[in-house]
Amino acid sequence: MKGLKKIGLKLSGLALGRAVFFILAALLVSYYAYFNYADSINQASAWVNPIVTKEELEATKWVLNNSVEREVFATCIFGGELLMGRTLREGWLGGDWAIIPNVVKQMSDADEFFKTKDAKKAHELALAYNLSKVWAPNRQVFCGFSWLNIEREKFSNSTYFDKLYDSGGVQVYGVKRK
Amino acid sequence: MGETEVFLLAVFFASLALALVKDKRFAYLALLAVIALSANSHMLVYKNNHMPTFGNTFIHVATERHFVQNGFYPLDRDYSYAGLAPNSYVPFYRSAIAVTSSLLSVDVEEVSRAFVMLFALLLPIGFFLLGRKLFVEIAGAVAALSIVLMPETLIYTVRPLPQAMGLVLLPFAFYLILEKKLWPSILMTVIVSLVHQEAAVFLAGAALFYSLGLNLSAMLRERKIVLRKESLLPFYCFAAAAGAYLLWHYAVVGNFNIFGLAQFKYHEGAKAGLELIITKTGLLPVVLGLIGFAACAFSWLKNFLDEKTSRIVLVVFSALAAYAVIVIEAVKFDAVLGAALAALAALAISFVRIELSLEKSAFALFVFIAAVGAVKNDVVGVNVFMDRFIVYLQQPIAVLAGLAAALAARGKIVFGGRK
Repeated sequence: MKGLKKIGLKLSGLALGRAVFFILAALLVSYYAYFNYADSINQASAWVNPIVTKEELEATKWVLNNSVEREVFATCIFGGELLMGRTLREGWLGGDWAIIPNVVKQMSDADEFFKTKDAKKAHELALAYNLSKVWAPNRQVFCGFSWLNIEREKFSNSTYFDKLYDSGGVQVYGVKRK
Repeated sequence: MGETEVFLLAVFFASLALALVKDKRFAYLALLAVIALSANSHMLVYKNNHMPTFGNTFIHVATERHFVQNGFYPLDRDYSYAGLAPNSYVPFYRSAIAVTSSLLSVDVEEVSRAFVMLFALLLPIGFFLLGRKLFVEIAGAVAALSIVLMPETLIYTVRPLPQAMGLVLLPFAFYLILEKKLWPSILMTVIVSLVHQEAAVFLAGAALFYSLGLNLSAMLRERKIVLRKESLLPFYCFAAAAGAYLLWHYAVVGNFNIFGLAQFKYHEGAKAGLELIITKTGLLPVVLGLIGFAACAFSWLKNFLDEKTSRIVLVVFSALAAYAVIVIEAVKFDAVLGAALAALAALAISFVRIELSLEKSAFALFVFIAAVGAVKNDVVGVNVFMDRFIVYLQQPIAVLAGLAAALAARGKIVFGGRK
């Protein structure tokens, strides 16, 4: 109590009771505050994880030098957004889905494009959407439904596609016109 | 979590204690500790060697980069999904990044990350001002801490997104409304509406509910239909928010059909129960927020009922609400815990003296109710973005948590008196 008086605090019995209550409450609250803060950072950490790879970032330089502004690529959502943000090219997926008519059909077609083993079918889809190139990173891709592995074998069919770029981490294929 | 965070939390609580017993200006030291905590958690934006990509961050970068490189904002053709539609996303956040990038000659991605850090500093300041305006400095400090503790708020403010800017500007918009500054309020409302659509929806709804709440309160008290002149300003803000967004949409798209957007058509979003809300908000802010809500409701009820009846109504209502939550989400531990705490909080608070002005209690109550309505919009069949609105519900929860802390610290609260 003397210590409190020294710093100018005079506590009556009621005030002392209130001070004890406050200290206990503060300890309880600070205990939960500590864990809430840690949990907050933990939850947010998952949302800042990189999806695109370093090789993809590096490959955007090739895209800048070997394609034109607004050129449309076959991409997953994250690949499309990387290309539009870094290079001002467009992906057939990625961006503000709310404003696009028949957007679910477009997602479904993109999903099929990456999943199918049928090169002809993939080529037809690419032409239907006027795509000129395919962005195929070495990671799983997401087209709005589930994460999936790219069926890459179809792109080696030179009737429909030709390889334009390969860094080991990402390949870019050209879509052949008929 | 390391020593720095523990030290900052210790500084916060020590400052709060000194603000209570010595000098209320110590609350500003507590605010500084919260700002440091906010900056610390938002440093996540520098975790990788490029800005976060998750959550469609790069769609905004595309328009920003286009603006910087080509000197104009691309309205006729969005970059999304192969450029099939006009660029109808509201433009202020993107323009702010692009203009800053041009002025400083710094890449838009780096400016975007710097903006996140700016938002980290402004977020607690906004809630401190709002809590102080409504209640006292201690309430402001705890409101600031509460918003910084909330995972969902961090998730949306740590990524370079218009959501982040909208969430940060909202408390300033509310502050101006409470200050009754007509044109600054309307200007800020228009800015928020053109920063982010969901923020616009929340601000419009909150302003409308506050306006209606003021009139409802007056009608209940005076037992006749009245129009309080204080209700006009928030109503103008509602109209400004709705008008600004609709006019922008019309200017770009050529129609007012916002319900034709895919988000409405496909009902984007998931239902949000209490367990999800607690997970995304944190137990401490939820509990404090519920205590604050109960206190606020009690103070508001006393405008129309005598004190004893108000307590009875509140306790009965709380018990029914707790029972309903337990029944609805019986299998979930957090739901049972949350409901039990809500009932306990309401019971405890009903023995405490509190007297807020009608305006302040109506603001806190009806903004909270508007936010709950947004989160539970599935109940009325809208079914859009229910879980996405949790982050907006967190704003009134933070303010009410501040009230609860001030109440616990002071034992009773008399702010502003009845009007």
